[in-house]
Amino acid sequence: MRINDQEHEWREGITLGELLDCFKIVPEQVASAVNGNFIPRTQRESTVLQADDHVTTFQAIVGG
Amino acid sequence: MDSMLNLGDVQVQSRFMLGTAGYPSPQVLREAITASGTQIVTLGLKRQLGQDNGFVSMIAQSGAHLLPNTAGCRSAREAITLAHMARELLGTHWIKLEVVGDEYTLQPDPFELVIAATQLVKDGFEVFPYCTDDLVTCQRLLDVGCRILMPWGAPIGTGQGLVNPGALRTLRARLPQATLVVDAGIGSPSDAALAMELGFDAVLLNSAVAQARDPVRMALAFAMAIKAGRVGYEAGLIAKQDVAVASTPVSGRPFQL
Repeated sequence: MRINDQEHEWREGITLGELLDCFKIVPEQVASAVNGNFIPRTQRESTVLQADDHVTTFQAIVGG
Repeated sequence: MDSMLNLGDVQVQSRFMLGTAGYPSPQVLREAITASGTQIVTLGLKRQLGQDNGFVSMIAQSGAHLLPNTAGCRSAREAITLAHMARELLGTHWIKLEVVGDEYTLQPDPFELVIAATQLVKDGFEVFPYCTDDLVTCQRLLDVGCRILMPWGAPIGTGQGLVNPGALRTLRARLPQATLVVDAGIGSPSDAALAMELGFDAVLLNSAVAQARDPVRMALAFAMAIKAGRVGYEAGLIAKQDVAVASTPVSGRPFQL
C-alpha cells in the first residue's frame, strides 16, 4: 500500500480512517482519495484498504 | 458609489482578487491582503500529510472569501476530484477550475475544462474556469452552467499584460451576461486598469504583487488602478478618432497676423 507515493505497511482490514490515525492527523486537516477517487471524511471509517491501494491526502497551501 | 461585483449568489465590493503564493513572508502576505482591499483570495491544494501550519486560519482571519484552485491538474477527472477535496477542506463551493493542456505555456485545455465544468456545476459548485480568450470555449463554458469566466491576459506568471486586448474586447461584447475576470499574465497596475476599462468585471493576479520589491505598496497600486479603470469604464470612455479634434472653442485664429 502507498500513501502519497510512500510505501506503508498494509494489514488486512485496515480502514482509511485507521491509516490516517497512524499519522496522528486531525481528520479535518486533510482531504483524502483512494486510487484517485475522492473519499469524503464521513466514509473514511467504512473504506477498507487493499494491499495495492494508493492513498493520497491533500492540504491547503498558498496558491494563485 | 462603487458598483458591486456579482459572483453567483455573492456580492462583493472589491474587484481585485489576489493570489497568496510567493510572498516573502506570511506577514507580508497578510499586509498585502489588507492593502489590496481584496475580498477574494485564492489558494491551492498540495499532496502532503503534515500538521496544520495555520495558513488557512490566517487567511480566513482576513475576512476574504476563499477561492481554491485545481492547479496542477492535467485532466478533467483530476480536477473534479481535487475540487471535491477543496470543498470538504475549506467549506466553500467555489472552485477556480484549472486544467493545463500545455506544459510550456500552461495554456488551459479547453476540452477537459468543459468536461470538468459540466460535472462540477452538476455537483453544486460555483465554477470559476481559468480559460483562454477563445470566444467559443468561453461560450461552451457558459452553456454548461458557468456564470463566471476567467480568461487569461497572458500566460501565468509572465507579466506580459493583455497580449490580445482585441479578443478580450470581443468577449465582453459577445458575452454581456457573463461575469468576466482577467486572470493571469498581469504585470503592472496599468494592465489591470486596461482590463477594467475594457469592461471586465474584476482582475485576478498574484505574481505582480508577490514578486514586487514592495508587495504591500504594489497591492495598493493595483487596488487604485482597478478602481480607476472600473470608474472610467462606467463613466464612458470617448471613442478614438483618426484625426485631431480641437477641444478649445476658439473663433478661428486670434489675430490673423
